[in-house]
Amino acid sequence: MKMHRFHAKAQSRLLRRLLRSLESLWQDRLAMAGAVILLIVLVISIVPGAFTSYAPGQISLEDAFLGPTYVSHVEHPHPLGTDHLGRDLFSRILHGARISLLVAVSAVAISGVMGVLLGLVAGFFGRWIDSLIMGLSEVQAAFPVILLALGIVAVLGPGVRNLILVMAFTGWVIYARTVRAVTLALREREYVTAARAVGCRSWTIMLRHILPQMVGPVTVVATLEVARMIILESALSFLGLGVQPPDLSWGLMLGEGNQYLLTAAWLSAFPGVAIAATVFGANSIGDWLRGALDPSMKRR
Amino acid sequence: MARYMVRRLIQAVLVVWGLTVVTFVISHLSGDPAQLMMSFMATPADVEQFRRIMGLADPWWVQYWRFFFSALRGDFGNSFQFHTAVLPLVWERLPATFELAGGAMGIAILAGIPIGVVSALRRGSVWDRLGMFVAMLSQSMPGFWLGLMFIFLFAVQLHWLPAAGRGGLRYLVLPAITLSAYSLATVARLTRSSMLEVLSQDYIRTARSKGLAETNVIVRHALKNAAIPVITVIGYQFGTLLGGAVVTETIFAWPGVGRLAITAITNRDFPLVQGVVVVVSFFFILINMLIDFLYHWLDPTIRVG
Repeated sequence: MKMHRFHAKAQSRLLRRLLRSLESLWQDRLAMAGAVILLIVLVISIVPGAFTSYAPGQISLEDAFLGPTYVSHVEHPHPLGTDHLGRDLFSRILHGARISLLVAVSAVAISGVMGVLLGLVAGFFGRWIDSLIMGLSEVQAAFPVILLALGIVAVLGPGVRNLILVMAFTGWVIYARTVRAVTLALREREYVTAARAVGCRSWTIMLRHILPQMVGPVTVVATLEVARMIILESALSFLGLGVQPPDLSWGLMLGEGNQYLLTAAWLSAFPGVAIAATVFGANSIGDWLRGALDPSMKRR
Repeated sequence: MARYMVRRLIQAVLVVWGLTVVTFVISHLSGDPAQLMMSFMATPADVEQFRRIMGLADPWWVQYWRFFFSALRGDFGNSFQFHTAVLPLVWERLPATFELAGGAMGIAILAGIPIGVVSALRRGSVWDRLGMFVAMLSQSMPGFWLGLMFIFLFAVQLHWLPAAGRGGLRYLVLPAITLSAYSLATVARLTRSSMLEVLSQDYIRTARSKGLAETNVIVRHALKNAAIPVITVIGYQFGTLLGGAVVTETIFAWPGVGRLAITAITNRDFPLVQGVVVVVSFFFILINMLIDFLYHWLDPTIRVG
């Protein structure tokens, strides 16, 4: 019982720290901008249709390759122009947000759960299981991520589901290492010894007493990983090994637009802006979180 | 130090071994190579005979040992699409990739460190904020997109630089800058934070109070110590650059290993994929190991066991 109160206290302390941090969010203009961008992208990915009257797949060949309205010589209702099939670019970017985010967030969630569990086990039990897990992470870290992902996609075949699996598989190492390091430090704390003395089982200690302490560091890593995963998804889709038509993602649009770089550069420019803005949002929030949760890391 | 090096070496050997296991498993999950290699006119009996000749009918562990020992000798078999040995194919493309990665590294260091130092010395100034904003921005852009925009602006619109291919410094500029963007930002941000930390140390105050010239304090006392974490990260960035080269090379039609990997994968040329992955990862591991040694040599406080 005492243990629980101890944790409730630790958690409310974390909550208070977060609240205080929200104040600092107001002061950190970069992070604030990031939060606003992410919020907008999130809303767009939920209801993309609310901001445009065009369906993303609506083909109209006589409207092909219309430039964005600010450079176009003819008047037309497509703010960012149209692609080779006359589809509205603005609408496609709005609708592309969903899969780009979905893939990145799912990959982060899966790799996060995998990595946290492996890191907990490695740090808590030590010995051979630690060596095994850390050895695996060494092998994995020895592959350049993109090569590993390419190799696996080549085998599994492209598509949204495989893409998520591959990206998740390449992402667990950083969580495992972070969590292992924290676990190693916590394992020796008095409250863990106390919990053991009262007769708590290993899994109980790990899940109830050590895991809750991971919320901070893992959130930071996960936020920065969302940024990395969005870029990875776009790179793989760009190379034709990720999301496949008729599905739609920003990386895929870049891959299609790339062929018309000389004559219709807007097809490459705008999806990239969408990616960069979203990644910027996630990165700046991640940085701010790191500073907010661990003041010694502030503004690194 | 010697003990550490030996341990690290053994670890590296184990990792390379793990590497061969993973590439073997991946390529064997990919289905029956006999079906892939034979013409679609082949009868099932033909395929069966081919499989026996190629040793594909043996149990997987026999096949693994064969793969492992040939790989040790540098023999990854023949490429399906080029019909020649894999290793020379990879080998002749390596210089191009190293040229690109080296160029990018050079840019990242030559631009990143000064930006970081200036940002730290003028903390909170307009330059600091601008520098860190740009750093954050270039960490957020997909490298390949930046490359496309560079091509459009500097090659297509302005005709300043060639858009594709390799051949002399002019060709290197755009791909190297593109590839360096992420590492440059990382180096700049880390240099800044490392400098800030060092500048607040007591020995800097001592150096100043001794009456040393400010440049002397900054270069000899601060930068030298701030450089340790930066050098480590620069080393690891080189590995990241090797990976990033895959996409950059594709954009700029740069004849390196990365582009070879993409063609190999799109053509399902598995021996070539294996060769590229093993060779690139081998250099990746080698470089990381050298960095670790360098790191231990530079920073006596972490010289343990």
